[in-house]
Amino acid sequence: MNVTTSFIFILFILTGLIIGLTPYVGRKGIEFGVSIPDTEETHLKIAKWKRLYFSINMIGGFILSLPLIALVKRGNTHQIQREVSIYVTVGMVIIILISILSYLYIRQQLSKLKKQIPQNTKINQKEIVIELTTRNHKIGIPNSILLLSNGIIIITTAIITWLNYNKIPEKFPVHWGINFIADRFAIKSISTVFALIGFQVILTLVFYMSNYSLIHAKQSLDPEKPVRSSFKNKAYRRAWSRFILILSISTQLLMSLIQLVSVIFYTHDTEWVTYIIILYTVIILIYTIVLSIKYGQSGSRYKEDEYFDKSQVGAHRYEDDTFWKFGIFYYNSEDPSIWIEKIFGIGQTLNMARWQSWAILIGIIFLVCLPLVFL
Amino acid sequence: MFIRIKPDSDSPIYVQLMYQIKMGIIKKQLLPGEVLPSVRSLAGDIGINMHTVNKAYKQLEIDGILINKKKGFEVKNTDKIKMEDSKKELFCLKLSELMIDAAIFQLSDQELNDMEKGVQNQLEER
Repeated sequence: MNVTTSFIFILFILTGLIIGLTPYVGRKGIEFGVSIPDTEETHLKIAKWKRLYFSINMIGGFILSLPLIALVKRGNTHQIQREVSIYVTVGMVIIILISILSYLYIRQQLSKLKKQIPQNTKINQKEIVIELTTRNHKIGIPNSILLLSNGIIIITTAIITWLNYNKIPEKFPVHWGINFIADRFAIKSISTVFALIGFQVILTLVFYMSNYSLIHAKQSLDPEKPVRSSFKNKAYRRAWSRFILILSISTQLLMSLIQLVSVIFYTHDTEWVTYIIILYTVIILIYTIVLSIKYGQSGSRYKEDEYFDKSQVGAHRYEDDTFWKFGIFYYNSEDPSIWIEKIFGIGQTLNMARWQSWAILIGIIFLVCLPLVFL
Repeated sequence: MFIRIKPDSDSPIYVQLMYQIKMGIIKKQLLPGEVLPSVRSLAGDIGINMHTVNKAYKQLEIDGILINKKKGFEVKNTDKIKMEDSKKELFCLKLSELMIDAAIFQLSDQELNDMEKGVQNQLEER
């Protein structure tokens, strides 16, 4: 097995692992999209459900990685390389399907079990608590810094490309096979030469949106420990915002490097670039895992015991299960919020009752399809 | 400063919001000149209709507690917050309603005292 295939192999297993670990980094008091009182956690065997979810996804990822070995053993022809890249897409889709189905199944089981809990022991959270002045505090990296840093990299790359335009060969590579050999080329023109830079601009928008959603997501504090959960939540937002800035800068630098190596100073020896891409992916993955484990969704796992009484745990929120369709999509027409912290997993999601959310989704699909029109 | 809203309560949300803001001013958690969050931002955080927040802000403006400025609703200087004579009538009405209820349901002085102390504590606690 060569480096790239073993990397894909590890990626499959890692994806299964990361998905499997999701329930462990979620909010306290909400398991698989169902609000569960602390007191009922042992009774409902939450730990058992989490283990089941973990096993299904871990084993799923592992089994799905096996056909790769079989594929690679058959040789290393172009045909097989193409099959490998098709399999990667299909395999990832299946992994995601497994995670969604196992999530929905466990959620359904938990909802059934929850109905059997006597009313009086159900979550006593009839209050919404929010911090009034949070918006005045600057949480996270300002979007201006993100746009400026990304913009400088893109503009510099664009200028270098422009100055060297005459040196660019009539045909340059745009796609590499699994084995670092260029297998698709583009004919030189303004649109092909600047295509990657256009992609960098799109990426900047994506990073901007991620950071925006992180900073502006609706507050969801634990009514019983608002001070503590606000502290945790701010730490969480700051850490992930820093991550987005670092991710955006390193991604832009990587893209610029690819632009320089492939378009402007085209060399046949591009193997080292592949290693840089792999290294980049590994570092970002590890960074993501560390942040997820350290902070958890909304900061629920963040340890700040030096400041607070240890007897307090959790980052609950007002019980709004009914607004979460299938435990995945938030739909609340009364709520003017567009970005909401996810109920399962880490990050933000959209309030699908708002037209802006649909505009954002359509915008993303449009941006993704844009290159198909131009290239 | 934290705001607590009970969506299932008999008291309308905009009224709860008004009193939470009033309490913040009394406790000096909201200072004169401080600008409150925009209607959209606050409604988003609580997860309620924007009209509800707007109604609360507007009513507080009518009551002479907030001032509507370009940058948003601002807390008025505390010395200048005074009850107008026309409002005193309503205040008196509310008080009489409470006293009538206390009398008809025969609440003891002890019970009433405890309630008053409870509210007083809420206003003083940090």
